[in-house]
Amino acid sequence: MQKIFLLLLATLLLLSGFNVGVSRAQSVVLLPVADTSNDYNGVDLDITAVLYGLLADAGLQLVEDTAVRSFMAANRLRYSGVIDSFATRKMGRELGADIVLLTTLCENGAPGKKRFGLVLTALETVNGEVVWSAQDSSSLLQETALFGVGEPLDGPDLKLRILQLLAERTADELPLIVPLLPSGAHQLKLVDIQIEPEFLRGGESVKCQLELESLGEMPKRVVLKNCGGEVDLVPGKSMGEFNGRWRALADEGEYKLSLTFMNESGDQITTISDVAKYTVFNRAPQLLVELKQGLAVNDVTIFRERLLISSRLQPKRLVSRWQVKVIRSDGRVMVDDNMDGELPCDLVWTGCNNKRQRLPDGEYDLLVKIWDAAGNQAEASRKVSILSECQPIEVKTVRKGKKNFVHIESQESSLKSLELDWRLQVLLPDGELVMEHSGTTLPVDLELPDEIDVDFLVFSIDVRDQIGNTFSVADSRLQMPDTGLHLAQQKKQWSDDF
Amino acid sequence: MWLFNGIEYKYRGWQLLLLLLVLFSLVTVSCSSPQRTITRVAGGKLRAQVCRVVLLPFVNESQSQELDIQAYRIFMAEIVKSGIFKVVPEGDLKHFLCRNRITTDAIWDKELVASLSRQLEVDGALVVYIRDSNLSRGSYGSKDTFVSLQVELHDARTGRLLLSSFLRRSGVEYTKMLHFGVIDTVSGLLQKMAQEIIEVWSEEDVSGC
Repeated sequence: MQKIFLLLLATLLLLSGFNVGVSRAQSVVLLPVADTSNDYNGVDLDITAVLYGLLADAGLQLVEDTAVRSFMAANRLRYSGVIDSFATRKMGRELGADIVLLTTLCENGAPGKKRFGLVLTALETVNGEVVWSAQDSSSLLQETALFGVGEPLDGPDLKLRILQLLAERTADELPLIVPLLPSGAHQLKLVDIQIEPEFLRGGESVKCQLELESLGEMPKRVVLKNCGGEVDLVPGKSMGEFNGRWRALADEGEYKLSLTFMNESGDQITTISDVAKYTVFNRAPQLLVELKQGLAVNDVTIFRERLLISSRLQPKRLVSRWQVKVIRSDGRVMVDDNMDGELPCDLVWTGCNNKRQRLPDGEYDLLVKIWDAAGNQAEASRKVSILSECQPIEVKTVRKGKKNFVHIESQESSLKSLELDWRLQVLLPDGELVMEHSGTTLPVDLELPDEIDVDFLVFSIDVRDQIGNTFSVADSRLQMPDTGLHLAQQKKQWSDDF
Repeated sequence: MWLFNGIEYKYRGWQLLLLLLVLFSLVTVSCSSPQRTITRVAGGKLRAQVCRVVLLPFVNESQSQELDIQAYRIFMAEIVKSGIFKVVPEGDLKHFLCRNRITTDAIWDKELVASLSRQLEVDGALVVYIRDSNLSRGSYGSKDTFVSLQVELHDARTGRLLLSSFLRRSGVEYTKMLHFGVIDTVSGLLQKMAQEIIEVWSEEDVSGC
């Protein structure tokens, strides 16, 4: 009675997938040893051969390495240290294996560095889960023993010892792994899914392309959900390919898609949620353009050498294409730049056209335009003015009543609002200083002293505008206004001198 | 009384005691265990609900190339060995990244982790940063060689940080006496560090398996 009870208990434990210490013959697939000691994707076939021999000697039942490599080639397994659960299960079915053993070489005694490190990981082939692992590493320094007893002789000896140790451990522990019960929901592998386009406007057409792999039969019905109802994907030309097309929902937003697979009788095999998404944008975002390194005067930005165009989208959005145009007042397009991809946050315009020729001073319209990922357009326009020279300054003397004045004014009336920093020096012809003034506003009248009795004065003026342009006149003649009195005094003076 | 080279030395009792004390302290110091792992624990019940985890691609901020892939495999092996969590195969993660066009250096925001959680059926995500390392100069057992790791456990459904451990170790920290116990391989050092972190996490009762 007791024996029957124990037998029943053992059977129950076995069926429920518990890992109990029951020894059975395990068929093991050893993938080529991945060598990461020098590179991300190295393979060491020599160590693979040694390990294969040691595992076989230790009593493990190994699948032929030629069969393993053929499977890897047929299933496009390009990395030996890593395998996904579907490929593990497929390997189990096609090669009749219970365990897939992955091996990674972390250190491999390079000359002068007598170190060796290996990691073993086992995946069971029923569900493709990681079930066991072991690792060992050492160096000649670590293995130094008292009086040198039992020390490895050299690097290869150390390598062999570690491999032997790991092989014995593997042979001892792997047969104790009891296969788990299949969970049933993992017979399909979603190799790839592509939604095209991912961003679009409501009502536009969306396409889905799906690639599946199955350990058994392909599902009879594949349904894509949350795309304005359900869409049945139809089988494509190649095995495992499914395609579908539908109209995007009208409302703006992100639509997450899920896939449901059904068998012949219409029963649901499995559902994968949030497998892909598409986004509807019906309106363009607001394009905000800010001009920097220039001087904003009223609604015009004046610049001398370069203009920094800072743009951003409110709200942020993917941009597929952008355009910058500079248009002259007569409507002629002077600059036209079209680019694919994201609009740069900052653009610098040096005032040149597409042929890198400097545009003449004057007012232009700057137009920035974007197309978002769904094709919606947004644009912003700004008035800019190139001013590469300081506005001409006129200096003259005027007479108002009985007084003489030096009058300074800007000749360009359109840019009179630009602040100027000026400094004027007026001298007598013999070099004696008459007056020295500076200021920031124009026009201005500066009164001359009454006692001046010359035909002309000499003046120098330096002007600097707000954007850095300068204007200078040095030692230029400034004719005094003709008063009659001055001539008489001059004649008298001459007579006296004579 | 001692005779050495014909010279007579006399030791008193207290001198012998002092000598023994010095020897004892030397042995004690050399056998002392390394400092504890620095671990920050988030409060709440969620900690106990983590069972199946995914080990995200390691973020290698150090100068040592390939250390990320080696550390990844070593960490995974130690987690599997300890049984603290069930781990998603590395291949499944790579397939997820490839299918969703995500690069290995992607920023793992909450939305991405949540998507990963749904598709790979995990409830925890382990993020490991290799903050610093120096393995190129001299022997791994020397004092100037070290590895600094930061290991974080996130709730995959919410992205919430549950546990964070920081550890900096060099091979000599494991020396027992003379050169015995010294860890001279990077694999051994990483294995030991993984074991230490798992040991601390086990004490925090994070496993829901």
